[in-house]
This record gives sequence, structure tokens and C-alpha cells, in this order.
Amino acid sequence: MKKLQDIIASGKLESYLLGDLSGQEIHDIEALLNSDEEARRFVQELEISLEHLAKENAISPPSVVKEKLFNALLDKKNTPKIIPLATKKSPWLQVAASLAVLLGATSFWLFTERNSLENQIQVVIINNESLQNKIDGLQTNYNEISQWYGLINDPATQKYILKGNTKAPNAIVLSYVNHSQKKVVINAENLPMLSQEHDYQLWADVDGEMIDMGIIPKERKMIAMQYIDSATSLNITIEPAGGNDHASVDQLITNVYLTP
Amino acid sequence: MPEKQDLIRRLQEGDRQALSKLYDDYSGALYGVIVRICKDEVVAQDILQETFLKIWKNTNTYDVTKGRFYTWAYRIARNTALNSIRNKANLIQNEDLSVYSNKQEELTNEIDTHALNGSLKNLELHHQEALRLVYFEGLTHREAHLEMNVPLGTFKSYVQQALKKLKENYPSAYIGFLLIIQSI
Repeated sequence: MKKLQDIIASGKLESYLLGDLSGQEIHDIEALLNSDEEARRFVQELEISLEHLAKENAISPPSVVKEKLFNALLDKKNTPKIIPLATKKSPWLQVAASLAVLLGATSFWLFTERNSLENQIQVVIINNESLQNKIDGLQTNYNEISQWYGLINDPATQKYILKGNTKAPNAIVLSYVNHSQKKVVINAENLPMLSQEHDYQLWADVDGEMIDMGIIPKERKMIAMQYIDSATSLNITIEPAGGNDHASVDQLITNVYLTP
Repeated sequence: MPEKQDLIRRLQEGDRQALSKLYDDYSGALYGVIVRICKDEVVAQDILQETFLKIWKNTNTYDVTKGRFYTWAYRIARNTALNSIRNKANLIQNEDLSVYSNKQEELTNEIDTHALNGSLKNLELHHQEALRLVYFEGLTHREAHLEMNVPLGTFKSYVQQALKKLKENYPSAYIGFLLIIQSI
């Protein structure tokens, strides 16, 4: 900080009083006034001089100005920004106000917590349902597989392999037939893919007549089919999507004779 | 002075009677400054009203520890008056200048804004002029030294000397009294 005499000579202190300084300069001068008793005294004397000069050179304004001023005060836009004085308030009022604020804040917190918990519960319920569905699906699969496992390992079950003819030379279907349980299961894993317009259909030959054993669903490996009594052979044809009432024999891709 | 501080506290609480009392105490001093800046009584009356409206509306920004109430009010009055002159000057730039110069002559008022009273009269003329330009015309040091046609440094020393002389002329007991009151 420069010497006080230099600052006085610079005219900064007067400019400060007159309101001619910028923000940073005001800040610097106020810092000086806070720390330097002599500077503060100088500025106080300047203020007194300024006020004294102004009063010596006062000009009385017409009384109408005061009237207009107090009329203008009635306008709502001229409401002052009041400084509320804490000393006038009852301490109990402040305590009550603090408690009210605290209570309000706590209630709000509890309310948001409750909402948050409710949301969490919803998520848990949804997750739970999803898990339950998965368990149900797995249970069904497990039951099916258990049945197939039991069926395949039953000594009464006979295994037949259906190999594709020239229409589908790579096709291989494994079939398991159990006459005592009256069950047929096939593994259609190695059937060539068909278009959306076609399905494979399984038929039983009974006395020269093709009896429907069901459509072979796409993209499934092990499938339980309809058991037909007195079937002499198993036949697979390519049919229009959704299956056919009568086998299109010209679309036969494989067949196998069953032993009674 | 304790009663003045009480008055300002009441003003800051929104007490109109306090504003009325402060208006009675300070409107003359402020109007004297405003008239000398504007050189037009009709405009000056509006600016005085605007100044006290600003004092009323922004009373919460006055910090009693940072200076006297008059200093704060003076700054508001001076800035309001200077802004009004600048706005007028901007408007006039878009008008016919010859018309304006005629108007200026018509507006010549009864108050001689160059005449100053009291302790200023005891000062040398160039000291009087320096204080008049800065305190009563609202000029900055840079503007005022051009007006007086002296170098800036010389002008600043005029102001310093003038203020020093003024202080010497005041009874020291008066200054001491005011300072003691100020610190209460």
C-alpha cells in the first residue's frame, strides 16, 4: 500500500466519496479505511466538509416536490427493501420459527424417503415377478426333460433314426417310441431350416392311411408328439405353414418302419 | 448523533415519518447540488424526487459503518443528475442543435448556479472554482482540470489545498464534535 500522503494527493479518497471509483478501487479504498485509522479520519473529515459545504449552499426545493414524493410512495413498485431488525422479534417466535422450519424440512425429507422406498418396492416387486416367471419356465423345462430322460432310459422305449431322402439328404431325426407308455418323443435338431411358409409334419401310417401326429415346431430340439396306436411307420412331410389335414406324400422327406 | 442513527434505523424499517424527517434535513443540501449540475429547476425537482425514491427503495444498501448518510445520499443525487444530463445529451444528438441552443437560453433560471455561499467564499478564487466543479457540478477530476484549463496534477493540488483551507477555517471544536458523534 502506498503512503497515505500519496493516496491523498492522488485524489482517490475524494473520488471514493463522490462515487467516481470502479468496483476494485472501491474495494481497495474500503480495505485501507478498515485498516488505517489516519486514512479513516481523513475521509471522515472530508465527508464533514462535503456535508458542511452542501448545507451552506443549500437551496430549498418547492414544497410540491415532497408532496409528489410521498404520493409516489403509495405506488406498490416503490416498496422499500426493508431490513428486518432481529432485536424486535420475540426469541420464542424465533425458536418457534426455527422449529417450524426444522419440522418442515424433516417432513419433506420423510416424504421424499417414503416416495423413494415406494419406488424401490415397486422395482423389487417387478424383479420378483420376472424371477418367478423364469423359475416357472425352468420348472417346466426341467419337468419335460425329466420325463424325456425317464422315457429314453425306459427299457421298453425303442429308438428309431429317420434319415433324410434325396429331398433332404442331411436331415436326421431321432425318435423314441414307448408303446406301453403310449408316448413318442423326437429330437428334430438336425432338420434343415424351412421358410416361414412351410412346416415339417409327422405322420403315423395306420393300415395305409397317414394319421396326423402333429407339426414339428421350429427351433426346438426335443418335442413330444401325439402317440398313435397301431402305427407301422413314422413319416415326415413338408407341409404349408400350420400343417395339413392330409399328408402330401410327394413332400415326404424321411420315414422309418416301427417294430411292433 | 444517536437520534440520527435512530432515524436511519427507522428508515431502514420502512418508516415514512423517518423519510419525511430526513427529507426535511437533507433535501436543501441535495437540491443545491442537483440544481447546480442540471442548471434547470424543473428537471432538478424531478431528480430530487427520484433521489429520495431511490433512498427509500434501496435503504437496505446503506451501511452506516461505511460513511455518513449525507455522503450516500449525495452519491445517489449526483449520479441520478449526471445520468439525466447524459440521457438528455444523447437525445439532443438526434435533434436540431440550433433549436437546443435557443432552448438553453430560455431555460436560464433565477438561481445563479455559479454563486456559492458560506466558507467557500473565504477561499481564493481558483480554490473555490475547483471545489465548485467537483462538488457542485459533478465533474470528475479529469473533466474539471480541462474546464479550468490547468494540468490534472495542479487541479488535484487545488482541491487538496482548498479542503485544507476549509478545515482550517472551521472551528476545530466543530470538526472534533462531529467526529466524536460520528464514532458513536
